[in-house]
Amino acid sequence: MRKLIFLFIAFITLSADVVERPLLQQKDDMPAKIKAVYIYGFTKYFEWTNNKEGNFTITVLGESVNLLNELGNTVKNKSVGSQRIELKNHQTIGDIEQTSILYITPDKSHLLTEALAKFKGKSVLIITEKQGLAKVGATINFIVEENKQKFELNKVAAQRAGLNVGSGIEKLAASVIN
Amino acid sequence: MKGLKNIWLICMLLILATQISIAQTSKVNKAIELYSAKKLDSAKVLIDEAIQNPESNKDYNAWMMRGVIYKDLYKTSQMNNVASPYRDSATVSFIQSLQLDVENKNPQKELVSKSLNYLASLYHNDINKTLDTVNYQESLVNFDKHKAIKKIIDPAFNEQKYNYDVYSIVGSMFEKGFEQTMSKNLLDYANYYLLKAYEINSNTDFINKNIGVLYYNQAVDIIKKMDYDVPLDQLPVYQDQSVAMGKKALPYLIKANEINPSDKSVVEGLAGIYYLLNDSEKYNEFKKKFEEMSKH
Repeated sequence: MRKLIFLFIAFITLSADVVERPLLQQKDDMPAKIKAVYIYGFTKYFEWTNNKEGNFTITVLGESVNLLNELGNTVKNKSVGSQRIELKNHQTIGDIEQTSILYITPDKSHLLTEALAKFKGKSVLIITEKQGLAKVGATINFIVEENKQKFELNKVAAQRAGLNVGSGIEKLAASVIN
Repeated sequence: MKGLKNIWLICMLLILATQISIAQTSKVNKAIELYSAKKLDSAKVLIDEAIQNPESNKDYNAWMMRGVIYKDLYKTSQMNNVASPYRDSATVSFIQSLQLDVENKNPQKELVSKSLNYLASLYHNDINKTLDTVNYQESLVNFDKHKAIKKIIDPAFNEQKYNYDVYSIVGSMFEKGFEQTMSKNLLDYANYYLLKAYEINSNTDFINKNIGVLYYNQAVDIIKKMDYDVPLDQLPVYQDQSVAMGKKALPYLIKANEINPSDKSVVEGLAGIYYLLNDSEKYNEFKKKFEEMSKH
């Protein structure tokens, strides 16, 4: 009988082990990966009329470790034309000397006006992630629709920024401001 | 204590010997003598010969004796064999003994039932020994054997509850295997067994949590496996699949949380799934809950 009890306890113990194991893949930030793939993908849909010398810089303005990691994975050993892609991370507009893409994290959205002023006509693709920012000058604004990461395109802002917009991107955008 | 038990058993067998019909007494009696002398292999040969006889074949005492001999053979030589033929023979013999005793005349009926209960427990416990993605079929065989015995000897046996317990554990085992290997095959088995358990009882936090997590992890994997160079016009396809899977996971994790609000890992899972679904309001709500729970 003692043996039976022991064996029964062994069974219960195994069951408990199954219940308590860590299952969730919490460390993976999938929305960050999707944004990173979008950001790199945009390089194929825009033409930078300036900024053709040196590296092709993608700058993240604000704290976003996961996005930076995913961007690192996405652009590893990649180029835009003959320009090698490099990543930078800054916390203020003043720290940014030159960049081809500027992604402004939601926390730094209030710096959009300053960014637009600093990079006007300098072929900088400004990407934001806050409701309404496409209407106030961001060329690309990430939005969420039906639980999915999508983007709004402001063609007027692109022209002001000195970017030529490729034909295919309009079809991919959730909405387009002409 | 063990000595007393053996003496009692031998006395019982001697009484049994007097009850066996004269025609077959010699072989069965001889088998009992050999058993008492711990000559189990010889006792086995004789009892097997005895039950070939049409008369003994209908004798519940002969079958009981066969069960006793095979049970001891199992205990002495096949205790570590999860597919022990001796144990199966003992089980079949005891069941046959019970079924032949239609008039309920066997004074040792309790011994037969206790022996079957003992064997049922051993089958049950052996389920664990082969509970892996390669040998699980053996676990299911022993699971069926346990059930078959319990249904005969225990009127209170709750087969559905037992099915639920085993299917959910087998499903979880495959789920774990899938997470380690990403094998589609293991995923299919995990789905199959977890949903079988869910059909039986959909109101436990365990089953809801496991099914929810299985779908959630698949939602993550769709994006995780996606190539970084995927063309932008293909990106919505991956997102659609991932979101669909995430939405499939959500009701299970919500229910698991309703059943057991104190399970921190479910709250963490809900935060994760809302993050994946780009629902920042809900993500922050569950993230906050998780952080508060982590403080205690």
